[in-house]
Amino acid sequence: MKPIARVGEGLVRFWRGLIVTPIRHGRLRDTGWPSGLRPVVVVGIVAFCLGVVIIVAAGAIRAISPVSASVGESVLSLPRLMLPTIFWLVIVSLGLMQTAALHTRRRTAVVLTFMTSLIVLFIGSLDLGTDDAGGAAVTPGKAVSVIAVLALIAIVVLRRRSTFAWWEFPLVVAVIGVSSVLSLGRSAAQSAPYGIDFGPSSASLVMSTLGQLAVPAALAAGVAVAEFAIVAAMSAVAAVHRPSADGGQPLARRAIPVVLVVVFVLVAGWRIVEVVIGMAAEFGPEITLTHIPLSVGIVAAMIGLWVLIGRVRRSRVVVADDVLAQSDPVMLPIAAALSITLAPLVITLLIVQILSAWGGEGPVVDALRALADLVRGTAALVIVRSVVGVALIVLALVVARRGTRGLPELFAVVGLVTLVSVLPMVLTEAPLWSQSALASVIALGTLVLAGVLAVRRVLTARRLALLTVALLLSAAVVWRELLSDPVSVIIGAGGVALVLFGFVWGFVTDADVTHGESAAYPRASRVMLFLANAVFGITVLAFGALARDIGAGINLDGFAQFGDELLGTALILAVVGAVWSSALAPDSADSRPAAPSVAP
Amino acid sequence: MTGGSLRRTLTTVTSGSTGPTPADDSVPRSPAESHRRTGWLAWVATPLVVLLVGGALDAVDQSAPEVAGGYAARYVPPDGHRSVSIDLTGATTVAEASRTVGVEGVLAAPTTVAAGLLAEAGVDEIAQAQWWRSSYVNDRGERGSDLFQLSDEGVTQVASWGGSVGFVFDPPLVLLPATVQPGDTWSSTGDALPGGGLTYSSTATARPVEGPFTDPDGREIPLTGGCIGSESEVVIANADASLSTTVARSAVWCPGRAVVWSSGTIDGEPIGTFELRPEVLDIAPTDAAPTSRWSAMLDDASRLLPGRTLPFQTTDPFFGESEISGRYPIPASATADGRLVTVNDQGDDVQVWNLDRTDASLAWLGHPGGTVVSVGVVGDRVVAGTAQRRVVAYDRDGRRVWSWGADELVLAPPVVAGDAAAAGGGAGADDVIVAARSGTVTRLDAARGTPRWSQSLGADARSPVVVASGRAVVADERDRLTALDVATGSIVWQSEVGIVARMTADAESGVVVAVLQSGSLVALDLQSGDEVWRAPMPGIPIDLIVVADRVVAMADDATVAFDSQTGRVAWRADSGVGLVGDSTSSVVTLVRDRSVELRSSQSGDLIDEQLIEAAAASASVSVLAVGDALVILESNGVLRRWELRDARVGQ
Repeated sequence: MKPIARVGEGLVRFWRGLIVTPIRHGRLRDTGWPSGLRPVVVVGIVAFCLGVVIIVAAGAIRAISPVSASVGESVLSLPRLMLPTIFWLVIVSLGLMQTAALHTRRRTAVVLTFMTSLIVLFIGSLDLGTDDAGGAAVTPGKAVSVIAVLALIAIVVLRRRSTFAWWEFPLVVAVIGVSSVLSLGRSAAQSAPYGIDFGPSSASLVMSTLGQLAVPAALAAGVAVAEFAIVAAMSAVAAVHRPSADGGQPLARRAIPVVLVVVFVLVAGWRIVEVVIGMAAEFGPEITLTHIPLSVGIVAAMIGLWVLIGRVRRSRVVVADDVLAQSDPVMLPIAAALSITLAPLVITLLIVQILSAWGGEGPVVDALRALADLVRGTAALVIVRSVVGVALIVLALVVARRGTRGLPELFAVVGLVTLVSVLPMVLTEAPLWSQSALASVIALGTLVLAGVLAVRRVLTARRLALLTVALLLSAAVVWRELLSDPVSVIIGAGGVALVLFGFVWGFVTDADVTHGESAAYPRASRVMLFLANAVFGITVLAFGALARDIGAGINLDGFAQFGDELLGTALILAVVGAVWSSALAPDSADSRPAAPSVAP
Repeated sequence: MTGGSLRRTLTTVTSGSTGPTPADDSVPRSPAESHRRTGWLAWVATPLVVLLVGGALDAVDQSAPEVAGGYAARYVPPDGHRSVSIDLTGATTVAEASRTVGVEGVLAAPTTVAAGLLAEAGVDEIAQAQWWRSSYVNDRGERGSDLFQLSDEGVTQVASWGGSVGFVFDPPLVLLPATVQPGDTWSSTGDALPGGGLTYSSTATARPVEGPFTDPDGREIPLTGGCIGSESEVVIANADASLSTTVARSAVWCPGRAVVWSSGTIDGEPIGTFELRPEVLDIAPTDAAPTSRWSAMLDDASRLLPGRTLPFQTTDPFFGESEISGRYPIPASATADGRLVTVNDQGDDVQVWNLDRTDASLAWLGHPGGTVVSVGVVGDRVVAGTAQRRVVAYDRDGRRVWSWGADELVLAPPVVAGDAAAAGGGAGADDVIVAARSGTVTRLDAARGTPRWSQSLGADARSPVVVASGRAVVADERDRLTALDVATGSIVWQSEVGIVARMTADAESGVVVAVLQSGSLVALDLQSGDEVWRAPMPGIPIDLIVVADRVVAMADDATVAFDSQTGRVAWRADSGVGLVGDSTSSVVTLVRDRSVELRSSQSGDLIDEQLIEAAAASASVSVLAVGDALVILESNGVLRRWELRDARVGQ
């Protein structure tokens, strides 16, 4: 094979490892879907794609349509014509969630139906109206929302023990849609003659209240960039290390170690230069020396926890694929756990809005408002993160005892980073760390490891490849946001681009959960929950993009950044740990790093 | 209804009367046939229901009522329309049109007028009424407003104020009936003041227009879009008809432009107005006679007088004083000659207030059209950004000088280009620099509003824009700070610092300082963009200024002063709601919840303090120096003002 062809094949392998394989394994696909689910999936996919188009074309949409602006603490400006589309997307995602709830286990069905009911009542309460005394009146919008909720509960009761039927989704959408259309229509009809445009303010209220539900998705979306960076690093090295499926010709096989050495030296040179320059703070990511100790502490604590896990499991060896394969299923639940207070917060806010609209002002509403303030306060955040951090570390040991690989290590690192994130909230002079400092510690650690292995004369091609991956991952710690830069050039806002990248990558690669089935979560429910989550997240982001202000509903960017910094960094750290662990393990017959597999 | 029975019902409905009956269930049907039938229905019904919901949402969506006034409404100018006319005396009048619905329409009128209208028509009718207000000012400084209603009657005049005589017409005086056509005649009579103090009677006829119509200089006025003529005679008399005035007038109305030409008499004296169509008013920027500046007056011996709460009010020559209440959500600004600039409660009028020790009186108001999303003062111009993506400039008398269309909303207050040398020569020092949300930064000629240069950041721009030492520094949504050469618009440097929450720059110390959302404070060299220092920000940022050689940052946890060259913490104080100071002063004014403090910028030592009688209850508070006073404007409309003891003695 000619060198050019070999390079071409390497690129193809890289492309496959980076893009094709994750999508092939993780995309939404018909794995024995029940009859009638396909149209529902098509609706969900169309809704998701419409959201993406709105986000990408938001600037053009604003340019060609009148913008409605309302001035408060900040200016909310929206292309007025798009508001019905936003409400439509909300109703579609709500319909998907509620239809999925029909066949899940009882407690899930109750929770989801309760949430849907609150949202329907909340939208119904937008049809305010007053009685003769100026008090709250029972309006058609409110009355129909109550009927709609009763209808939804009846559907749940009647359909819970049945299997999925195609008409459930249109029926649920029709029930939610009729109620919402009536309320929104009446509100608009009542306010328009007075020169009051009801649309933007109600959309803002709906998005700021419900938008919190998109936070777990945003946190998980933040991880996507890190995941992508890891896959890129591993695929790149795998493409060099495994240039052809058949191993190639003998000459080519002999050239591999040479190529690996060259690549390693180049990457190591880049990392060393960047660390040196970073210390001098003149170019590239600045490395603050005071951030080094805690960064070293994090890496040391990770190693300590892994040693402990190894002892509990009676096996220390773990490979990067073990960690990476476990990340998809657990990141969203961890994100949900970290934002556990948001569900009660949304429920409280919805109840407050509903009670207020029904004339229920008083001590109960005041108490609920106080509760909402408490739930979103710093103290609650500290408690949640501390509990989640400790719980993850305990869980890591429990799972390790069962002999599982990858998952305990991932839990331990995420728990560790979560606990570290609490420090600045509880200590006035807390030690700090930064991505750049952590990256330099990883790079230096990798180089030290390479040096030790070289001195011991065990720096084989396999180990060289693994350490090259570790070096590339150290770069990914600081440079991974560049991956979403091409999107931000188009959109003009880095925050929107980061979340969009995460949402889209998650949509095409994280549907593994829909491939399985259980009595508690049948396949149809899994598919619809996946779609509901995706459509709702993209809707909240689309609202922010249309407003040209990602914080218009809720600042998803902030949560995605947090997800990226906390979960993304933890994931990279865990993969680095696994790579180091593999490098220290004895060579097997063929333990060269493969392109990562995200298949379950 | 169970799923099976519903499926059967739907199948029956879609397959017509010959479809299967319940008894057919007993007939075995192959799974493939059942699957096909279900599949077909599912593919039709599922998208259909979803699309129907979308269509219904679109159908019920309403943002504004249908325009009232019938055919006559087409002659009414759109919201924000500016017209310029000249009269027989040679006076040039600038008028702005405001189109509103509801109570807001009468709130701009003096209290007597508004109360009269509400009493006559009732709140319910007023709340749904559609209004056209024409506010005018001429080059003699005479100003006033006419209020018209668009209704089933057509276009009617409701009130007039601002002049030596005011009117409230009841029933409204019909200017153009709803179905106006050439040849129509109409008349109306009624009171011209509440209580019948004055009465009016009017007769009018619509005529086809046959031009040309010219202004006094012989320039032809273009008749576009189907203009119509009217000839009217209005007699206004007192109760016993002992005094009366007769206005006889021929007028030409053109669609969207109102009256473009008129000629007639008032009690035999000739009158006439003629539309001019200049893009820009030829009013050159002037040196705005600066009053004493608060910061420049401060020193270590300064002492504060107790603060005063000032009511907002307006005085009409005929209807008298009216108190104005409202909210002021947009951050206020101050003119160089010591006036306060706000945006009204509804967000559509720019208001400029004269402040004295007892009250804030309305000097003028401008209606740029649509919602005002930002306002700033540039030289002697008050410049507003609107939701219609326009940047509108007013002169010191409230005349709209020019308007420029941006490609996106201008959310950051427009700023001045800076000193003449830095701005690229003697001309254009008062030029306006605006950053649209799209990331397009433009320098506009202060006199004409035409762009001198335009530069794209390649990302959405963030508020605010700061200018110092010939550099305009703008933050964007891709974490970057970009410095543009004020003279040419070229990018001098770009630095990726993170998302900027607040920013300020200072020519003296040569740094631009930004508070980042990540919680850091970073100072960059204005000329090179090199990072000079970085420090942690003490909490959520509230305000940031440069005073002498200190960068003072206020956050919710504390106020911290940093050395502007090294970033070393110089002193700390408690947090507050805002800061005032500039590089020429050695004193920083720190406004806290319950007090106003003067502190030495060097040491942070307290120089003087005055208590605020009540803590701010508003969500947002503007703290700014207005002339020789410190002003705090809460968004709920509470205005407080402080003077220095020496300044008062001196006056």
